[in-house]
Amino acid sequence: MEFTTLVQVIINGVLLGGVYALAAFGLSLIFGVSGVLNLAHGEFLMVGGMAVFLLFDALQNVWYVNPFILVAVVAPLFFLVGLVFEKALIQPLTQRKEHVRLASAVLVTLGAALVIEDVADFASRGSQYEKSVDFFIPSLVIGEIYLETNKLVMFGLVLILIVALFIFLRFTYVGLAVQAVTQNRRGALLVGVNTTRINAIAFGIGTALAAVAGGFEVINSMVAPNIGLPLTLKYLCIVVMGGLGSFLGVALGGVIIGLGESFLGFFYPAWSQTVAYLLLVTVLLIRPKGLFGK
Amino acid sequence: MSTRNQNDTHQFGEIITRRKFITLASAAAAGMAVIPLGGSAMAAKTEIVIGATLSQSGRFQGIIRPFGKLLQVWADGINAKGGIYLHKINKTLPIRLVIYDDQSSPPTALKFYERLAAVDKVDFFMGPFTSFITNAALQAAVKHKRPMFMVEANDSAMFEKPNRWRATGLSPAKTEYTRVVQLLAKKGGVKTFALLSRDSLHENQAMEGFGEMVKKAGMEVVYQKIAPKDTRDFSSIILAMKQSKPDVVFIEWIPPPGNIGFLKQARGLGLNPKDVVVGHAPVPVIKALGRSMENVLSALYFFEGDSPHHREFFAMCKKAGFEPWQYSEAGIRYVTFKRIEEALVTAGSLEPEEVRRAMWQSNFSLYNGDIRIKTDKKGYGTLHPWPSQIKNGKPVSLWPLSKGVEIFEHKNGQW
Repeated sequence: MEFTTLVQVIINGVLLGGVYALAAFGLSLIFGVSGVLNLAHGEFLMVGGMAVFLLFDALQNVWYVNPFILVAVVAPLFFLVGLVFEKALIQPLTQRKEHVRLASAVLVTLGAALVIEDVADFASRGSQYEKSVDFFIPSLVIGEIYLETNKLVMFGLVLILIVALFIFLRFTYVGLAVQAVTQNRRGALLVGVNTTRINAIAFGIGTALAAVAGGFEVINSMVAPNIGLPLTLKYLCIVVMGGLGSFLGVALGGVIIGLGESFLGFFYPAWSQTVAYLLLVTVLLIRPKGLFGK
Repeated sequence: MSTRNQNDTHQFGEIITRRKFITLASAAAAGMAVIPLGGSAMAAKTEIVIGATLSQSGRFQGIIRPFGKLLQVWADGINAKGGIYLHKINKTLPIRLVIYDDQSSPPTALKFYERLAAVDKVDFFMGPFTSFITNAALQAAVKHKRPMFMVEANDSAMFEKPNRWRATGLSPAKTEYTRVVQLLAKKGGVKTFALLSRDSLHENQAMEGFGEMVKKAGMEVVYQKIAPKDTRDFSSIILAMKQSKPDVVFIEWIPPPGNIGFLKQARGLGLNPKDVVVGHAPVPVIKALGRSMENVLSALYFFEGDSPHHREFFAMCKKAGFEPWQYSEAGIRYVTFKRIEEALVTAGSLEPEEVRRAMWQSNFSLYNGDIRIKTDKKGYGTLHPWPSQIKNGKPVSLWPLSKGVEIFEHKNGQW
């Protein structure tokens, strides 16, 4: 491998890992706060991407809108979608015993994932199945290294969102409450935190982050009704590898898997989609609680 | 004893004498022996029932969505003429189609082909879309002894073992891009090729065949890899291709929108070969890449022309509500319609064995003799696509070859 190619493979791995981490943050936040393994997370990503596409498609004959702006429009809508989803399907499970709640939540979210996929499939009849927007910013070229501007913008936005999330969790009352519930639900309840509300907010934030990642997918590649579950599995690998509930772990897990895919994809592309699982097993053998799990 | 017999018999109706009983029993036995042999032939056929599944939902729907209408347009056209004349039963019968949505899923397709045979009692099958789904559906053809006119299916996995109940109009997947390689070789100016396919039946063989033909034509393959079906980030593959400095990049991916990620990222990462060949480039791919698709080389299952077959095919597509280039695989369907018509006329009846035999005897020419559709010993046909190039957002046919070479322009790295 030439040196410039090596540099480029590393850069691509980090950029890819950043987008993975963004969606995985949402999954981790939901699990950390409400103890729900949201198997419909990839579906929210897919629907978020479709929403960006539909807006882009509808508006492009009127005036050209940068799809990144549409991502910013879609994100708050999906915060509301997450709130409603949590209220309708997850909240009724919260009074159950922990192991029953976990199993029920897995079944409910898996069922929701299948329903969302089928509805998206049905809604795609009469229009194209795969959605992608024609948007390209010329790449930055430094010597022989090409930096995809679209991906750089995405990575920049991911960093901004992570910092914003950090500030929210560290310096706002709701953010502190989220952390409190993550650490000790009963303790948080005793000091007056409205855990029901916090669960819903966490679900809303997680869903909004998934929708943002979906918007990035539709710009960088495409989204289709059947992409959700495989992506959810990949994000689960990142969350478990990083350590359940650890945001730093998720960031690192995302970058590790991004780099793994990037290197293996260069030499043996046929194995590039397996790398997430191989890395997960390797990390769990060494650190059973994940990289930053407690 | 005689009295008891009479009483027993009496319980079921009129008194039957021994002689009468023996006569009736003999007649019934003879009848039962005859029915399995000639039952279907004796039953008065009033229509030709053709069963098929189409991917009207799931990942393949975007490529073949209007084919349900296309099939109906064909059947309506035949029925408007009264149907197809079957000389052995001396009847002209109309066509009735029974079509199910296989949801782009092999198990679902197999389930519906089972139903088509067992419940709908179709006379024969028209195959589903892709080798991937057909491979599963073929089990029903063998089990129920119903001929299957395979359509968009030509992977060798289905032809390795003899199976007399299936035949396709397509040539083997490995020969799919014969004309594209011919065009590139004749145009000249390119020597090295980088090839990529999605890991699935058909795609791998189409790529392998492309590579073999490139080498035969005296050119060189500098990169050839298979990528997993769920690949969404192609950056590393693109970088590896870039390092191998190819003149031509070829990608084979079904459903074709999988190409979108590759092409977008190739553009972003500065992979600027002299030519880009995208095996299948339907509307979603062209739309997602916009101007960057200009001069991308691809293939269509028809070519521009003015023969009666061309006119018929174009008119059918128009009636079905699309332009042929938007759903290029319609060209394969058209050939299948012609294969079915020819087989029924040859068979002269709807007996599965007769139709099956006629299906294997396919031998006719299309498009003013520009192509001869013929079934070989393994059950392959002779149809493979013609080269095309994207110009102003839609594919332009690059055939006949001499005309194609003139029109064809290298992409020269211009995204």
